[in-house]
Amino acid sequence: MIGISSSCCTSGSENKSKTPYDLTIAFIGNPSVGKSVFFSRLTGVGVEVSNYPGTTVALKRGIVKARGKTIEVIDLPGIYSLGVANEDEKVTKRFLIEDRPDIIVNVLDASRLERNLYLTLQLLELDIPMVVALNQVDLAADLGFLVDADELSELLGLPVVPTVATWGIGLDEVMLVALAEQGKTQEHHRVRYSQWIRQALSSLDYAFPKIPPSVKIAALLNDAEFVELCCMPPEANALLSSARRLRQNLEMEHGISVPDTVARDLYGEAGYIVDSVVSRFEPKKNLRERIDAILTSPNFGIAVLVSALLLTFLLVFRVGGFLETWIVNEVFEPYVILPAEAATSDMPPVLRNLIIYSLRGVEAGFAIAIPYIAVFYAILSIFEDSGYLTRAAFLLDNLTHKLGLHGRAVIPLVLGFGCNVPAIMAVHALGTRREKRIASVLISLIPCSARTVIILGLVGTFVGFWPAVSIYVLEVIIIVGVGWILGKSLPGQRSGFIMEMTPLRKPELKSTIRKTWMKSREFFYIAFPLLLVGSAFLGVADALGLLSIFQDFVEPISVGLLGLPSFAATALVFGILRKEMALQILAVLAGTANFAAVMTPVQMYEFAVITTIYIPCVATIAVLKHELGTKDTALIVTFTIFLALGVGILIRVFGPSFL
Amino acid sequence: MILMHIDRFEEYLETILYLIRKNQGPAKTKQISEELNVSPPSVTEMIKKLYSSGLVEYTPYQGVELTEKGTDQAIRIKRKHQVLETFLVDVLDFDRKEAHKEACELEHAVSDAVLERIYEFLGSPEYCPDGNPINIDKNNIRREEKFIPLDEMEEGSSGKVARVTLPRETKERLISLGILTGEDIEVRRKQKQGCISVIAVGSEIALGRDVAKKIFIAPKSKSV
Repeated sequence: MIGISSSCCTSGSENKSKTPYDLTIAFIGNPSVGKSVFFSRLTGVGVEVSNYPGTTVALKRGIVKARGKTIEVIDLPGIYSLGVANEDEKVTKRFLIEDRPDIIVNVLDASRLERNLYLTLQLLELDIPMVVALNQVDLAADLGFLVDADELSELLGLPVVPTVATWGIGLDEVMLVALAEQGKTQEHHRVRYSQWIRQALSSLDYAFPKIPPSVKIAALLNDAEFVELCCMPPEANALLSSARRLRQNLEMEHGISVPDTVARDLYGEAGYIVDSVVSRFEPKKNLRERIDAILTSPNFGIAVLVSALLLTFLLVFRVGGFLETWIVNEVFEPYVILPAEAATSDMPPVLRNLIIYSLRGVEAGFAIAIPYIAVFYAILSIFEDSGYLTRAAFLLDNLTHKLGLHGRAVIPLVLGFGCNVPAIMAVHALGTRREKRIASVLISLIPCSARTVIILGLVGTFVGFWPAVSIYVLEVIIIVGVGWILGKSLPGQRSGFIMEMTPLRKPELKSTIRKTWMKSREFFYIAFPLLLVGSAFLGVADALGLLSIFQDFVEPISVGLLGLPSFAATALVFGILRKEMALQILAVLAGTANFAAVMTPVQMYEFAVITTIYIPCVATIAVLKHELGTKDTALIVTFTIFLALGVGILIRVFGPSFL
Repeated sequence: MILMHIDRFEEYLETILYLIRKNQGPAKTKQISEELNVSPPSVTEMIKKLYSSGLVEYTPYQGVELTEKGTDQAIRIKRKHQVLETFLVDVLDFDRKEAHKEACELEHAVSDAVLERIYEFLGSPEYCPDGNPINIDKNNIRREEKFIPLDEMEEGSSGKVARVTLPRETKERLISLGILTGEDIEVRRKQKQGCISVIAVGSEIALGRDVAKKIFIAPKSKSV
């Protein structure tokens, strides 16, 4: 059994010639070490975001040309270790083993070097040529750490380049050094494990001489996935079962836990390295710590948080709303839609609608992307870069916990009031799938600014101020209720709240602009296809008279069950394209913008509530599908339809006694 | 002894042991009745029976103490409970609450031989998933717990992580952030009800209450 020739960890290099690139460089590092800034500065515009096959983990790929070579650069997700704790770690590990990049650039945060080195030491065992980018050396200096890069390079056995990614310092050098390392054999530093682990490893060495040490460590840690990726099945099984015996032996006879011991050895090593390369000095007493203490103090901290959230909300709402109106009324309607309508007036209605509606789809995209996504991400990136986001999450975890969510989810939830689309895009950072799902459902129910237009324009104007406010109260009750139920019932590991608090620092304008731009562009990629197809389909359906058939078809529900005017159903269909369009179309179909003349207060109230709940708009559906996949998106859409129906019926029954 | 009563006896002994360890003194009748959700008169009734079997001693206004024989039995049953609970949680993937309930039933039925096999199969763990020690020293049942859960630590205090009773994935996550047995941590921030943050390997990590509850710390004496 042992004689089977090993194909271990060598498969990657053979098929390299098939790729059109001369070289592949992978960026890897802990979360929030500035890796993405690094990456986006390097690649500029040509980034392609794709999910790793079979997962929702996003990999960013870009192409860089340097010294006449075409280099593929890949931004791996931020991880703390090569373990099995979450999907990001598994994907990274699989990528490193299966695709085996030519060079790894490991981005380290100099201010948290010791913890960052944990991952570095694990990476070293893979024996892939590596370059360390020692990032945020400026922040480290502020906090009182000076790192000797040459000494670190000496100890690790690989090149170390100090960088400040936000200022672009050292980036070119990292790339040049990485290029120079191609094909070289590096003498990597090896972790010296403690006695028991070494003994176990050497007995594995005896039985499996050809398998590299990294795989043996993985086997000892019972990381079956890693072992199976590296070895042929019979050998993998043999190795795993030998390792299991050794591990059980260690745990029973000597009472030591193998994972803990290995981790302690790695940290011990990291500590030793840090002691030899870092010189500490007392940082000048600065405001930072005092501000930091205030930000999470029991009373004042909450006050700051509430005002920050309110301010953000107002900004997204006001600035976003203003920009949206401007884009729609001042740019698209006069310069795009009207001329297009004039130009297509002679065409057959199907073609005409196809063109006009597609343009409306584009309009909807711009009206969401530029004002809301851009404003939202500008603010979010300031929160993130300054380190405040983690403090806010720290304060709020207790509250959101009741909704089955982490503190981190509060920001997207609150900002969902501006626009659901960026809020759902921000869900990506939440960790487990369970939380992403809960947060996405809740966000889809939050009355965004477009729904506010309906609530205020219909109920606020024609029914009254307090009824309009009551819709918000109702919505919040529904959201809390749904969150509570989902939190209780949704399967999946209820992972505890564990989050690294990033040091406070001044946000950089450049990085804010860059992130805002990246996210807006991402939205265009994700949402535009669906927006265009959806709008075009709606246009054609309208031209072919399908909408009136639909209107008749759902009449038993819309009129019979809900008691709405029959044309309301058509308005609701248009609301899917862009929520406030429901109101515009309602006015067109009613033949008047004075809704009080054609609808009762209860009908108006009911219509407003239904539009806020039923089916998220097309752009939201597009991002939902991107984050959660088709099945969950379909579930959410169906759920909102039934929820809207249920609430609508309740309003019809109980509404008259209030309005 | 009537067979039917054995379960009940064991239930009482276990509760009394728990209360003695908690009180660091005799168990009060009122506490027992609250713990087991029975009326005080029936507690008194039962204690009389236990007394006549030589398992407990009772001093009015003081409370109930275990005799040597009683301690033996109580520890045995307690140990069964912890081992079964560990088995249900770690191997069969039950959640804690269910496991506790099931263990309460099973502990009376399982034989010592079966239990020892299970204990060996589990790799002779020292602590059950709730962080309670499985092997209690019968000569020192009141031994003070030296470890305190992280969520009861004061802001600014520090100590060494003594044990972590969390599922594997969470444990791994903590390990990769530098929180593992044997490592020093310092409590940096603490909210009254909510999160707690610690400094581990030079960086600050925020933890939710339910995570912090399952991390046990051997505190360092304040004087440095």
